[in-house]
Amino acid sequence: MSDIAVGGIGVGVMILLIMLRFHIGLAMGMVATLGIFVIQGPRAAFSILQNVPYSFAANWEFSAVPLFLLMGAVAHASGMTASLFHAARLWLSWLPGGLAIATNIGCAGFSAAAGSSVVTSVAMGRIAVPEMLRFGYDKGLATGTVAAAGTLGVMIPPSIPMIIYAYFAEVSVGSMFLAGILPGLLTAGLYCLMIMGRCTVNPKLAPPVRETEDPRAKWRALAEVWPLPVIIFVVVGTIYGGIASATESAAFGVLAAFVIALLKGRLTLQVLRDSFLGTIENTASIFFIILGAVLLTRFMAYSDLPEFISDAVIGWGLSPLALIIATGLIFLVLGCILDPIGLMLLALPVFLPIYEAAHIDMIWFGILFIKYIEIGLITPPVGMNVFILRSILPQIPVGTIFRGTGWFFVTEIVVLALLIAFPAISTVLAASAR
Amino acid sequence: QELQYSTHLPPVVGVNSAGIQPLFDMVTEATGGDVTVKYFWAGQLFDAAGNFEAIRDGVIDVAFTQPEDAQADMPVNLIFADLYFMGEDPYATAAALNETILLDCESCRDEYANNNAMFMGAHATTPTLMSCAPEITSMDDLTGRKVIGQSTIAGWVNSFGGIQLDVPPPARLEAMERGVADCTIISAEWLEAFSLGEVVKTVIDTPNGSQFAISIATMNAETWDGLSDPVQEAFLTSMPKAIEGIIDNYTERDAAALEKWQGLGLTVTDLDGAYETALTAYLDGYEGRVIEDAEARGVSNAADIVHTFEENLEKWTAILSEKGTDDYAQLLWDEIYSKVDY
Amino acid sequence: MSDKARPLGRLLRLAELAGRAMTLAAAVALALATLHIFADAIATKFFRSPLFATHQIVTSYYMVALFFLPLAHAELRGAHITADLLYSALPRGLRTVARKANGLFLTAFLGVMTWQAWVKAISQTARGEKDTILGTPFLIWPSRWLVVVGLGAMTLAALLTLLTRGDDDAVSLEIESPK
Ligand code: NA
Ligand code: NA
Repeated sequence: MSDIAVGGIGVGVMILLIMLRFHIGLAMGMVATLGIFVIQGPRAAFSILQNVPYSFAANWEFSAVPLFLLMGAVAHASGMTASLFHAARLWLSWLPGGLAIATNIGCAGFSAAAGSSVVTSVAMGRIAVPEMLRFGYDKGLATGTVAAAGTLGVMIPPSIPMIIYAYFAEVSVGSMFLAGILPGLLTAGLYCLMIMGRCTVNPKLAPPVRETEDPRAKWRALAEVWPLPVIIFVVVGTIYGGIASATESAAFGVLAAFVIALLKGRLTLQVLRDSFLGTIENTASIFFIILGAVLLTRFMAYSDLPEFISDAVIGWGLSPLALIIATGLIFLVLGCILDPIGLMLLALPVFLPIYEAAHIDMIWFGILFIKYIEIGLITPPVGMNVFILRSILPQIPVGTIFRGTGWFFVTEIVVLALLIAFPAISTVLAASAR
Repeated sequence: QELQYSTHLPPVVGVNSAGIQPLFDMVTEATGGDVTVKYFWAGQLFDAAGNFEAIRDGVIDVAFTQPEDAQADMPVNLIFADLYFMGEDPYATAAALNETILLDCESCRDEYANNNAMFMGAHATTPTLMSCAPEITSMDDLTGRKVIGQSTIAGWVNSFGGIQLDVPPPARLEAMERGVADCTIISAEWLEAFSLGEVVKTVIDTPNGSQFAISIATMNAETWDGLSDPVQEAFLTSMPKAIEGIIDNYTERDAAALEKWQGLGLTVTDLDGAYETALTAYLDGYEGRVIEDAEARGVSNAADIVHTFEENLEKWTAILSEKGTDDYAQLLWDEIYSKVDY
Repeated sequence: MSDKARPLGRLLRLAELAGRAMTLAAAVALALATLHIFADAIATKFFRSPLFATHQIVTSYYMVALFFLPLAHAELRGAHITADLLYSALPRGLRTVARKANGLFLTAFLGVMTWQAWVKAISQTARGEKDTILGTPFLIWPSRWLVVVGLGAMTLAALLTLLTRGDDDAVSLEIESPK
């Protein structure tokens, strides 16, 4: 059996196991290990198992994830998020799907500080979803909003995947960052319109507020919202003030949350216990899944499957536009099963030379590529952002979250079509800065 | 026969595009297509430290490794990392390094052998330059600056009242844009490769040193033994060309990057020699410290190795000043690779 | 709890206690990481003297502890992520088969991972894996054992879950309370 066939069968088995409710990390990790065993033998499989788990855990960039989880957990357990969303409910009640829209805007704002979608979803999911659920929002809408808007984390600068892309494609990181701003805002804007449209058509998704509040209550509620914006300001401010790197800013955010909770007299032992235990449980489950995803990347590298696909595409002799669309479909399919970094490591060395040969603008393609990996975060069966929300909200089935992201997926396809039809959306800012 | 090559670097960097890919192309051609290669780029399989372990485990045939990523295993070869400040002209430095390891220093080769590995050769990076976001016109302007670079430079940075910071290359632009750091010590090529030219205002073109504790094609010993004589021959004859290709490439990229960013307003200065004076003062007794450190980690012949390297560096500086670098690969072959006993 | 699980009850309680202790250790690592990173940022920015080896301590020790130690506790609590895209449509018998297969494969896979982590920990200990920071050796090998402990405990947790879990898939593992 060829390595490519082993790769294909492995992916099929993995998807089946995930659908049969195996631990997702197990389905990916076990299939990957067995696949490497078959292709390359026991030595390689064991060497990968000895190397990958440790080196992945001992990683500075990833340490921001548990810290932002803890920050969100403290904010939630001490009731800070509740006051913000209480106010948002009173003030945005006229807007169909007001809380979901506020969450969406919150994600876009947080994206300006965080360079990773996982971090954005973790932080905002912890804050926003429990409140939306409390106000009777549809579970799919509440979780889908954060899972999808969390992907803005890598489109709105800063962005870790953009830095990796720039390095591979030999384009400037600054240009990539500028190029991402308009597509990021476009995505956020279309999300808002889509949410409003859906909630207008089907008000049950986001029950409007019925009780008429007196204006004084509204202002009182507004006066109570400050803690959360202050915490996010601390995170963003320490980054832009040159005091902290992204990971360091997370530590500042955690301490800000603790200090505010303490000042408000809400830092009880119970809050402390709940936030730490919740964070650690989430960290463990997220880590186990990402470990599986990293192992899967190794298996795919050995299987030659990505090269096989790219060779097939080259064989078609497509025009540049057709090439963009055809490879885009491939990335969407690969994005269904691979995590963003894995997709980048596997796809970029293989595909970039093809685009260069076709004289495709590498900034424009970079933005499209970031969009593809963003979409991969919310597509089944392996949708990292969806799994992360599931770990934060164990009571909501993964299927519900995936269904909730369905409309966002449709919106993303519209955005993609716009980005492909109008390359200027991606290139105009980067070009004007030259 | 398909060999597997693994590196944590992406295919576009000079080591790969100008060195490793031509190397394997030459080997494939010389063997009439009998020996081919499968590349694992950019840490697709193993990260920087993992590649050395993969060679040791016999999982990968050839890999890019650095002794700094396997410090417990490579106390001897770590000397070349400590000799960072001796690196200046990359052609001479690389030749001296390769001659020292491949011909003179048996304990250096033994150390690779103990890890199931063989050193086949290395380039040296182009000299690293202090590159700062603020305008720098004197040594006083450098006082208190936060400088990104490997920990080797910490002592030097401390000596003028600065602080050394550890930031991975892709994150340096952001760190400098936001003032987390003021300066970074880099090869000029990084102004372009990591877009650092977008934030750097001043480059001090006095060489600090260079990175040459590298092994671009660390070979698994069993893989090597399994290669036929003509294939082994093809590797040894191709290595000098690969090394020349890499150094040529980096030298050109350095010049191009400096020219481009100077055109966009970058200041290049040597602070009227003040930087050199300060660096020379700091480096007083430097070799002695390197030898002491190496002896402290159990390398009894550290003094021999350092002195051999110095002699080789002098020798190659003389050869290259006489003959130039046009036939560099041929010189490497004549002086080093034709005498290698692998 | 079903009858066949009862003899294992004591062992299970022990495992849960151990899992909690390791989770507590992870919580300490998380708190230390927060404080250490914060202190280092302040020391660097305002006092121009970074703390020694912050990155290495955070990544090689706090993060490794934080990621590996709570794995067992998460397994006993059923916190690891699953997706029932097809499962719920299956007949009851097949669901049981799928669940048992998951437990069996999980135990086996984790067993192999633990074994390999053990092999790695022994070899890195023997060679004294280290880094050098500002001329000072920084030992890395001890943190390799955190991986062995974390994965080993998760293997046992998976085994106990497999052996004691009742037939009703809606019920997650219940542990007799001590009172
Ligand atoms: Na971002
Ligand atoms: Na996906």
